[in-house]
Amino acid sequence: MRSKDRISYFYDGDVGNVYFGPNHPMKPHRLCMTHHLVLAYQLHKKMEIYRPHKAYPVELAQFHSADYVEFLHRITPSTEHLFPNELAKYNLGEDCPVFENLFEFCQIYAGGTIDAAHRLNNELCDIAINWAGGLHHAKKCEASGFCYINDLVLGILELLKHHARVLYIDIDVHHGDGVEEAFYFTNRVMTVSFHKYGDMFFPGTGDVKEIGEREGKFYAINVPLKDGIDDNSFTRLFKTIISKVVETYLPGAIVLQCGADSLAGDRLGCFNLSIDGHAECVRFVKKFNLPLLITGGGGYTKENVARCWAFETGVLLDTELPNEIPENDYIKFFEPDYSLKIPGGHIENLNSKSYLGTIKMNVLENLRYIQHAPGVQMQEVPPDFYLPDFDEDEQNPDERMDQHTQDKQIQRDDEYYDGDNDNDHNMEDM
Amino acid sequence: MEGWSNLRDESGLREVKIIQDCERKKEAASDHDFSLVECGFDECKNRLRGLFNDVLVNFLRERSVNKCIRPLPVLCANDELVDLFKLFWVVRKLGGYDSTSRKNLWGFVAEECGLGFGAVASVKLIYVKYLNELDHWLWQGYSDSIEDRFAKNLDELVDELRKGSADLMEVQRKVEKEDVKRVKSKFDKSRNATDRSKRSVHYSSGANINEVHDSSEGCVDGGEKFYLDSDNDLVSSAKQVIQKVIKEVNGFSKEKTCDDDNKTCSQNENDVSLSAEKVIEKAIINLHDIKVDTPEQGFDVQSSGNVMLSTRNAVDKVVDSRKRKRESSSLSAMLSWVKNTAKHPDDLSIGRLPECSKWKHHGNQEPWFLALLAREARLIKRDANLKVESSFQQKKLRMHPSMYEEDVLNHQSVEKSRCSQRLPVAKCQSCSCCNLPPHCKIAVPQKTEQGYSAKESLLLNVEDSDRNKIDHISMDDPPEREVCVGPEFQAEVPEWTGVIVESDPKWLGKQMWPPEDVKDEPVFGLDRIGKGRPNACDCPFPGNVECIRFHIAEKRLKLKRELGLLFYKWRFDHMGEEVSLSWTAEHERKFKDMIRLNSASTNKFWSNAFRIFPSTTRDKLVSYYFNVFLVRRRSYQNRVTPKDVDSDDDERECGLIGDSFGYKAIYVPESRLPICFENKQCAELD
Repeated sequence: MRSKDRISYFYDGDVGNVYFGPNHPMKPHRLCMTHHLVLAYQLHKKMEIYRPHKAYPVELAQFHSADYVEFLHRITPSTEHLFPNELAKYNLGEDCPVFENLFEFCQIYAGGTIDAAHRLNNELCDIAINWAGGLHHAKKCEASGFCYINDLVLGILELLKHHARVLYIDIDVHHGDGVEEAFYFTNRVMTVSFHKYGDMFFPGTGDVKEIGEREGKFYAINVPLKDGIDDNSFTRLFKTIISKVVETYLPGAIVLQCGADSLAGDRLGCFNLSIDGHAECVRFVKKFNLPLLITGGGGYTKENVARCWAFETGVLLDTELPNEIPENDYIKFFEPDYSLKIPGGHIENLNSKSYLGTIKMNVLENLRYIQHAPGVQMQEVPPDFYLPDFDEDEQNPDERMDQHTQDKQIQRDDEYYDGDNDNDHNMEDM
Repeated sequence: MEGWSNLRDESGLREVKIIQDCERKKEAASDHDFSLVECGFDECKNRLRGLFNDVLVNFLRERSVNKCIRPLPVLCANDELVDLFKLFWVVRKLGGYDSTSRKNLWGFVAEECGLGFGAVASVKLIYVKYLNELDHWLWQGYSDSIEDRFAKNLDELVDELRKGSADLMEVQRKVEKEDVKRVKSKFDKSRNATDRSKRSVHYSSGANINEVHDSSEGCVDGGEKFYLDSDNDLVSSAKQVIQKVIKEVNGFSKEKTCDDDNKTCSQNENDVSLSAEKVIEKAIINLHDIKVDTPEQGFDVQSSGNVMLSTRNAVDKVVDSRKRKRESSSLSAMLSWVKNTAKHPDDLSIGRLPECSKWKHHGNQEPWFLALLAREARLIKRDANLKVESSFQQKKLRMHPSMYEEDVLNHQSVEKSRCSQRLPVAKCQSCSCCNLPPHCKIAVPQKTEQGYSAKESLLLNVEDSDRNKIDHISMDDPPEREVCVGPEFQAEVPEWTGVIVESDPKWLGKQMWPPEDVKDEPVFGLDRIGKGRPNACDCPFPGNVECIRFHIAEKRLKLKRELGLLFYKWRFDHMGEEVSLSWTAEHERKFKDMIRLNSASTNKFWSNAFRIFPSTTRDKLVSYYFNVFLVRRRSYQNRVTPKDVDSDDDERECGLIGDSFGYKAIYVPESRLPICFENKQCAELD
């Protein structure tokens, strides 16, 4: 099926040119590499690319405390020694160093996610991509885990202006604690995070027992996993849980954080996912045909991050990318075989079938409570999406084509396409 | 209140009796042991230490009649003083001598006692010589003296206390269970009471004793209803017992508020805990008797467990609340002492710290003593972390550097983690000045469980019908870290009104592609979308360095023509290895040195960079780092260490990359030329 979705992609040329400091695993340059690869694959011809505005402090303060935003604005590497108390208070320093142009960096990536939400709200696109965003650890009043401003929360708050319920999905290897915490008391946002949990793995939250509180009780879902989970178990678990969640919760829009540190061979991660497995989750979420905001997130082996996000951009554009990376300025990073696929991980899979089964049961059990919850006004906003059943392979693709009649694609389908780029068969592969 | 004062007297007597009992080696050994465990649970540990020492001295004296005399205090091999009480405590916690040996935990014991691994042998020896017998005696006397059934009860009780897991939730569950099962009509009332208690637990983390009292009363209220209904001897006596406990708590809290003197406070606290303990015993004995009398009443057995549970909880709460209150007052005293000492180190009033062997003669509230304890606890914590970290490295687990908490040495950061993280570890840390045993980490749970529906609680109760099961559930893997709740953490989400709030249409991003100004179809390249690298090309030597560079340049040119101005806006002109052309060899060498020198200290990088390259802008530095430096390192690794490629590790092989050896070894002299000229070629083509 060819892309009928309108895709808005956000990129600012300045975003990759910041440096967290020697040995800091976060390398924003991966965003340049991703963008480069996207262009090298000619994917820009199928989408609109926007430069986000730089979010104003007042916009950031929609979620964050004003004093924290103000401090981020003001602090520079040359003045940081003057504010030891504030640095400690806002958790700046070790993990979240103060570097040159820190605030501008935050403004750009947060602005990207906010603009993406705006475009979705105004129905100017169906899918919005901001690989620079997805910094899910940032808290209301402090930085955490390389994240300063929580663009996801800001984006979701924006989406909540148009949608009664927003679903947040997080496939970063780390728990999406900042987003979960921000929406812990509300049933208007359901957060679902798949992550490594245990062994004091950062950030330490994300137990299956964390389910939200007050009105938000049962609206936070955590899928704690152990080391070395592979494509098969991960995607199966993902599809089971997400399809049930969407079916139950009926969200008006979905935000998907695609942290690439869940890939095999990540510097900080410990999963065994291949790019295919990772992208399978994106493909699956796309099929709900809901307004979709895609962000980046973690990812600390930057070549793999670029590979993964470029490939997923292709997935969102319904374009299967060939394995041979086209020549570009960064081709050397993809040595020695210059291919898109990455070698599989060698971490032992510690997730037993029974363990995954228990987690799944737990999650589905908790989901049952929201089906009868009076707090969510399920009736007021009728489901405005088409729910595919991922098990039904016999689904007729032609029928589905009819669903998108309001298609306003950037590029005509009959151009630049050979038969072999038709991706129908991929839908059936699932 | 009368009953309470009586009890107080009794408990005062009892305290004396305990020591006498020990000296006389009476059958009351079990009681004594019980008090050991129970008291040690709170920070009265130091008081207990004195008691323990007394007992030990007496015990050893008695033993020495038929054996040799053991000198006190005990010095270990390297002349360090051994804290016998701590040693006893640690080993007891590990399950006694046999268990410790079996699990090979003597190293841990030595560490815990602050003696280091070197002292493992002597620690073990000292334990065998001094304490093993005492331990056996205590536990044996305990089980011999009491009827089996009773012993079992006590055992459970002790276990429970030791775990410190008993909290209000359990009482609530029990109460609810009873209500649902038997007093359905009063269900709502009871729920109110338990709700109240839930709420108060939630908010009582500030150590509000009155609230804790309130809550315990609340749960007893809930229990009472059931007891009134069942109209039973057992029940009324149990009720009395609970009321006594409550009165006690009540009296205690009153006493507390009007009493400012720390020492008196601790005295009272101890009294209360002892008398509470006494009450529990009474209750158990009562229950036990009745049980024996009316064995056919299975119902009674059920409720006796119930009473036990709630009593235990009540006492636990007393202990808990006291712990917190005491902690805060003594902590502030300690802190002000430390502050004062730091300000006036030569102040005579501070005096000299006594030898540690004489510490027991001083009050455990002495600020210097607390300060030393606090220091000790801090050191222990850091050691534990170090251990954790090293085990991670062994497992080759990767994680955020933020996990390396031992890096955070400055006080502020520690304090920070204390107030924000809600780690069990952090909790322990904050009360470590009282030398709490580690199993006290789990305090009253933070989360309210208001959302439980009646159906759900029934479900829970059915599951929890087994008391041991409750233990298991409440102890089941405490979370590594809990979600923070409060206005400081959650976003403000407005209620959904059904009306769409118009968002500002101004911020939709600036369209870059397709270019807005170009209305007609831009000149696209002939490549189809999603085209990969061609398998073959027409170059004379496909795949060699020059071929690849040519194709990169070709591609770049194509892109430039397509994008137009966008090419520069996206900074494609600053991408690729060509960035190095604007750098002199000297600067490149300097940059490399800088990276190597700064790789360890993250935060100094930028200030140093500006010093070394005063005329170079930040953009250029970063651009060089990513476009040239990393690519070269990557190239080097690809060829020299192909099995271990990680261009992101700044500490690795910094010295070799791109230097004369590394670079020349990789490239043949000619192949270097295209690197420099490629760009020009590209420009010429343009």
